[in-house]
Amino acid sequence: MKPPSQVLEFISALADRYTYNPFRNAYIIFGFIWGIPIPFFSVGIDIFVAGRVFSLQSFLMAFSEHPIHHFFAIHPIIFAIVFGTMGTVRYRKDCKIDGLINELKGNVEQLARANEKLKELDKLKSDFVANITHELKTPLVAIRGYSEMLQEGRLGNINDKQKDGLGTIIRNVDRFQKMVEDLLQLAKIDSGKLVLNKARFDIRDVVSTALIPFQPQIVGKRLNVENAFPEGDTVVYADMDKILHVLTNLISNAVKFTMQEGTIGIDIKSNSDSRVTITVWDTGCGVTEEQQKHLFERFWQADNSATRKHSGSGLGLPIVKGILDAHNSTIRVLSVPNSGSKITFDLPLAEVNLSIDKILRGDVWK
Amino acid sequence: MEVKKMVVVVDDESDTRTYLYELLSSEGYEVTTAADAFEALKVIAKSKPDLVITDVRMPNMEGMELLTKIKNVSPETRVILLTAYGDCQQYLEAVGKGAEDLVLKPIKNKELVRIVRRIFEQISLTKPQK
Repeated sequence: MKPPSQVLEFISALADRYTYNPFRNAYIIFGFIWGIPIPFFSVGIDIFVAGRVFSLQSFLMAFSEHPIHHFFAIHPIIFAIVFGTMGTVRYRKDCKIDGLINELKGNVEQLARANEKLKELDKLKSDFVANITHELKTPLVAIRGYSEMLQEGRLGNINDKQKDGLGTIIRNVDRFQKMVEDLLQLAKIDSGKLVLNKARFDIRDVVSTALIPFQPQIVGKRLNVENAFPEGDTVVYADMDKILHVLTNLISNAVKFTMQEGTIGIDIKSNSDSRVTITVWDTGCGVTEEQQKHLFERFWQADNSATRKHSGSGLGLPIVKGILDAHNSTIRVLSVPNSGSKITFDLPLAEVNLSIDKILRGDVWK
Repeated sequence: MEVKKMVVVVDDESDTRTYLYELLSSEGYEVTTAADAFEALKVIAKSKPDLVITDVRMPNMEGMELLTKIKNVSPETRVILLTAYGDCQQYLEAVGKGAEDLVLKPIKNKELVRIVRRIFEQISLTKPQK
């Protein structure tokens, strides 16, 4: 059986020089003083029990009569050693704590320096992203411009095949540009520089606007669009441009991942807790539960194979999440493979009616 | 009366300059190019063009500053700004300082041509009344 660690600690402290140095270890003096009355007590009890008279003579006699009193006489020294050992144990612990505190201080300083450096790097990164966006877009101006001029026949006649080729160039320039813009948007979200210009607007209008660019695809794929807009209050308080971006992204996914003659839809519902819930749903491919975990990771695609049918940068949903996070709104995904997806988020209702009520009640002046 | 349709293009990128020169020339405008704001200001002070199309981000002097200076030198001159990454704020600043429009790069030919045509229509409508 192993003795408890306190005992081992005590024994090792017993061998420490610190235990026997009363100049540094005040516990020794304390123990010594505590030990002084003990021989007097023992002799005193002896005299009392024997029924003798208390005097120096009887004291010396009693002391010399019994060896136990000699043992008690060295108690001040024993107490000094025991207390001194306890002092050493305490001293060792203090030293350890001091060491840890110093180590901690060092770590904190190191962390502060590292943090400072990270902040600098973060700023450099944001500047870098802003610069790179500019640099990447500049050559596109000439590429896109000349391609379009050629296509329009401004630089001489061209045949239909050449026109188609130029169309492909322009389409890909636009795709590239969108990607650069997405990266910039994501960099802004990362560095917390996403500024929201909040205003009151009717979410129904923005949903209708978001649907317009997809009309050709909807018609081309013969998709049904089933929207459910309520009659009631749907005026929200949010950043309209960014919410349009969110809706465009979600609708784009719904259209992209729904097969011919499928159905997509957008439901708007005002809740009792003065929020509006917007749901974009489709009867498309859907994603598995495992895939749902990765939906908001950058550059992630449900189908990562080289032969995948759907193109995209994998930046759409991370941006959507970033924008909604900035609005304190959570995005929820409900999806069943091969039967469809439902993506839901909510926005706060604008307090337009409340303020009218207040004015009518006269509360506004209070 | 035939209105002389003069446009000055300001951009530090020579390819962009040439492209805008080609595009606007093919639309029938008289185009002059300038590589930076100082060169542009000299041209503008001398010839008082109807329209200046300038990049926002340029070395030495930014497009916004150039816009203010143009409005001082030649208040009649209309200005279009080109930018690689614009937002609402920048648009409002540009329009507030007297610009006609803020066009996002890469430029769509049809869009720019439409804007330029509209501006010259406005000019031809307002000029004979003076």
